[in-house]
Amino acid sequence: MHLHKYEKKWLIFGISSLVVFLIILGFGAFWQGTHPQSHGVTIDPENVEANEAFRPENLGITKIDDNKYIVNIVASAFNYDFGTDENGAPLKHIRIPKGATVLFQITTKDVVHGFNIAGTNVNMMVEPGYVSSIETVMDRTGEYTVVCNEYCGVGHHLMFATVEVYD
Amino acid sequence: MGLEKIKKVSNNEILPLTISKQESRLYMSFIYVAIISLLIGGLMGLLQTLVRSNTITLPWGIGYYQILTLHGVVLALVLTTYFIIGFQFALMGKTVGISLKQRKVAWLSFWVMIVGTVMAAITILMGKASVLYTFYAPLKAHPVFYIGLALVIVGSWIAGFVNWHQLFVWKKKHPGEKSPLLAFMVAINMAMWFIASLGVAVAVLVQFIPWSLGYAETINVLVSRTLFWYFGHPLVYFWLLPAYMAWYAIIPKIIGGKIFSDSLARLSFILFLFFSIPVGFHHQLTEPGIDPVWKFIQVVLTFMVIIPSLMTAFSMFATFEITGRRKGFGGLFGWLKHLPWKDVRFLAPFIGMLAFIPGGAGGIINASHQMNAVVHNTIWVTGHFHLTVATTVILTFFGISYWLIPHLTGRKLTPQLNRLGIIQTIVWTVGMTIMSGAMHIQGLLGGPRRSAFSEYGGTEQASNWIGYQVAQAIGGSILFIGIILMLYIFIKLAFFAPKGIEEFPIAEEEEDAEPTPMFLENWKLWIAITLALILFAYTIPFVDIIQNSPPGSPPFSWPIGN
Amino acid sequence: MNEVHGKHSNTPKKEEPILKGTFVSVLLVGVFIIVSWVAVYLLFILR
Repeated sequence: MHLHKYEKKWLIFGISSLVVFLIILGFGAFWQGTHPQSHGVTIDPENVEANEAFRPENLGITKIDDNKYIVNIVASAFNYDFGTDENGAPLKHIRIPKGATVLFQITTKDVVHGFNIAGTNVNMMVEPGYVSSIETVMDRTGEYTVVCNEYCGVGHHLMFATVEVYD
Repeated sequence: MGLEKIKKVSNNEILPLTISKQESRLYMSFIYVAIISLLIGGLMGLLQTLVRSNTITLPWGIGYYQILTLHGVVLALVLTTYFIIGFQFALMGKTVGISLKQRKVAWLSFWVMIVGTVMAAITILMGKASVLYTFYAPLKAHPVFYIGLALVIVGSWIAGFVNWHQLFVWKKKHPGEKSPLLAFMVAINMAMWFIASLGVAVAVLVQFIPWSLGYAETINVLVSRTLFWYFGHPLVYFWLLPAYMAWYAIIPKIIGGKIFSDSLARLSFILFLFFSIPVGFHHQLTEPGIDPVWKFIQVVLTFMVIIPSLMTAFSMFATFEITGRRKGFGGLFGWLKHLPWKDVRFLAPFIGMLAFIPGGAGGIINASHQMNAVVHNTIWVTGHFHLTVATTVILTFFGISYWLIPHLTGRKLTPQLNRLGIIQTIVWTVGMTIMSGAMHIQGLLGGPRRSAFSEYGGTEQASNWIGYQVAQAIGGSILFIGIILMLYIFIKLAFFAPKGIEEFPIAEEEEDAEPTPMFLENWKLWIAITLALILFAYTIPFVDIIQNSPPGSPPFSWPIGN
Repeated sequence: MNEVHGKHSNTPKKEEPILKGTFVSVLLVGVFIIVSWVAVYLLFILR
């Protein structure tokens, strides 16, 4: 099979570019740890409280160290449960100081949901039976909308929360 | 060499065969379903953009996600599958012929698909299947929805079996000869489709149907998603390859040229067969429970499937340049001038080719492992596939229709209809540029896909998204005008255009073309490599998923309004 | 490698067609792909 000399050059150029992309991606994923979220911890969707992180008192944001936080959330149709405040009202808004390292842990009690802090790389599928988890540094101030971006039913577009990163 | 050529011409077997009236009825039946789907699915799309721009609310209790399900199923599963199977039958009929018995079985495939389509459509219209065309568990639709989908798949298999039998019979009559290029390509596409749809068939038959009927209490969600996406990626190549068939083997005839390289065209299709299937994880990159190493391995395999498209880009430009230079157009880009821009049979597919540049670039970004987090489930993804399937593939299919339909109905493509087709193509391009462009940008700003109108509690980000949704409504409305135009053109071409003979353009190779190595007809080897790659890419992670599975999920119908 | 077996020909190998325009065109496509990929990569890194 004969390849025109320009086709040879084109394919070498194209395939080399793809290889460079893969090396950049592979280096980032394997050496710098930026794999897409692939948490493997399983959970019983009918008893999420059996996992300590999702007990009602542990939901929402908890400071665990200097500039380190954990945010535990239980998703369900059509709500993100961040726990309650002192008066027992459900929290829909959490505040994180700029530069903090935050571990988000989330699971679902029913169907598949999405958890996306819009405009950031915190973008995970939340599936029954699994805990989704990502650790990130919140280094940009602003008010972020947390959207459910995986169709979960009639109230899908009404499932949201807000995260504020403050100075 | 000379004697051989005369023998082939007098044998009348190399020339395109004649399509009988009975054959035409069969092929046109598939196309009628496709055009009806275009109208229904397109209307749904228009309504979606009007809802999302806060222009209308849906009347009579119709749900947004109900019409979104209809839009996806009718356009991405029904329109595409029917048009492709009808087109492929016509290609086979023209190159290798169809016997009476094969025609009867082909009709069986049509009716099985129709029964399945109607079943699924009824459940969606009754509001019992608002699960979107990906029907992810544990959202549960009415069992008839899943049974209907299974029948559509099985019907398509019957069509595939007929196609392979058509080629098999031809090869017995032509020992040692390479198969006609278009027949080769159809056989590859149906092989890819069959192997891929086994995955969704298993999910539907073994998991969804028993679970939705109540015979199984729970469903393994991650397994069902993995089986779906094992199918879901090759699905898009099932759509793309028939467009490539037209680009490689039909467009050169329309522009007055020849096939650039018969061998390379076949090689590209073989590469598609290898690398379209073992890559489903790139649709599951942000999911828990899947080993990230295997996600990356499937990303590498995904990048391999880019290569035959790079080859195709070269072949297309080369065809244009060689033909142009032969006609006396020199210079670096002078050959662009000779192209028949005023011939809609060329213009529409050409715009489709152009759209694949940003469409393919976006696809590479989507599959880029950790970069997927920037775009996953945002409306960027919707913008991406409105370029690839809703522009590249559909404009090529429209471009095919301008000659295929009159050829089958014994009419002619008139200059007036050609001009109307040019207008339709431009309308489509303008509408899609606005709509898909707005989707890409809104997606990068975090706007979610598959979502009805919402202000998200009044956040600033959400208010920034609305402007793009208005732009999508403007683009979508223009596109709907394009759909009405296409419907008009179709009705004219099928029923009212003046009678005559419309050419079925099949490109030929150059006189002194390098002979195609018979090695490329090594079907058993190609299938073996395809299966080996699938087993490599999926066995370990799939076993891993099953072994570490959490408790399964019961059905949830209330979230979808049941 | 490209000779047809058994062909004893004194004519030179078939000339390759002029595909300069094709080469530039596909390179432009390649540049588009690279630029768009890098743009989103930077977006990912900076987020």
